[in-house]
Amino acid sequence: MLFLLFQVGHDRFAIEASRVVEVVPLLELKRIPRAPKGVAGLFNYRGRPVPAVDVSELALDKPARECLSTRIIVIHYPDAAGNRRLLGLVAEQATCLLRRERGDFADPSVRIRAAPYLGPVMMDSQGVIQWIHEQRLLADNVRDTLFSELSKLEN
Amino acid sequence: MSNSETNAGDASAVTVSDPFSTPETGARIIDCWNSIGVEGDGSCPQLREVIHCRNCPVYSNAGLQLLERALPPGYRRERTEYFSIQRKPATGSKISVVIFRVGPEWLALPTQAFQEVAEPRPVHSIPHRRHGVLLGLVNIRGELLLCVSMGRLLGVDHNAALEKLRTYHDRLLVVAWDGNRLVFPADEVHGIHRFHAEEAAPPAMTPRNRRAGFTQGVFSWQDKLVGWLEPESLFSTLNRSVM
Repeated sequence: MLFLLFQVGHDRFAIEASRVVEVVPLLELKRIPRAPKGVAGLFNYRGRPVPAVDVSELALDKPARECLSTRIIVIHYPDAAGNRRLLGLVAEQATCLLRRERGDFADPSVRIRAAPYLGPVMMDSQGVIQWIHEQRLLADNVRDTLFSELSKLEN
Repeated sequence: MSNSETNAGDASAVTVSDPFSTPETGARIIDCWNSIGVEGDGSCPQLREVIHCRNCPVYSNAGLQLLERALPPGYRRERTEYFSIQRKPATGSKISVVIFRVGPEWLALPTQAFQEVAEPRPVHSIPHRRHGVLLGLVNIRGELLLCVSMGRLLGVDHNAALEKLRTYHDRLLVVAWDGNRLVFPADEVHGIHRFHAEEAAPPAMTPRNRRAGFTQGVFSWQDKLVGWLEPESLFSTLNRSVM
């Protein structure tokens, strides 16, 4: 399996590369006033409005640094009705791919209820990499806010 | 830049070039590839393992550090404009053909029909079979294959005036379709060309045009019109006519 690595703070995380639609540079984001925590804004992805979530802000309450290695990972995300929507993840150091098997990851034996997206972990010489279940990144109310607003926009 | 000044006395660090400095992180990039690597004296012990610096993790990590710079002014705006343009949906897969010339006509057949482009060589004619589509036998890698005339089959004129078009690029094309191998001479072979089916127009249907039956379309290539031949009927007719 191929994974895309990124960083939150100093820690490394991985999402399955097959779930990634495209990795785009840090584009201009239109802020959404009074949006829930972690929502970085809307961006124009090939003519479509796509919401972006700042993974660093979501996890550490600190927005991602503005530099060339900070990129937007575009993924598919299911809305409440199960339709596939596009979602951008603003992530630091989204620069490396890694090939690992599912068996290389071990259960971390720590479960954080507030972070259901944290998956199994893998160790290499530089430390620990944690698998992110990107389909569980958003709390239900955040997801519904993002996608219900957008469906109004699209219709 | 202040970074280059602080590094001025340090020989191992890059001191002059702007792209190497990463003022945001304060990290200095050690350009070992210029001193002990392939650009330097090649004394790095790692070279025995990685052969070239570009295979070395130190080198790729240095490259990654370049991305730790702040966004250049106008970068976000420019990229935003670029990604706001709707991408043209990919329309089907492309068709791959080999383009060749027979007499004045540029023709194309599916690439998968071709096995070899061979140098011209003598064609041994077969007695009593001198006027049909069959030209004779030709030796391709020790195998005698039937050589046919695409020009005669398609009714492409081969008159003297066209001899001027000869560019001494003539080749023998070895093709195979449905397990039957054949050879035909072409005056010129361009090579492989890929196009979308939508780019091809339907062939001109005239009663005198014998090609029309074998042509599935016409497309333009390098300001020329190329007849896109339909291999199924073409090869079945060829095989029947050489019996």
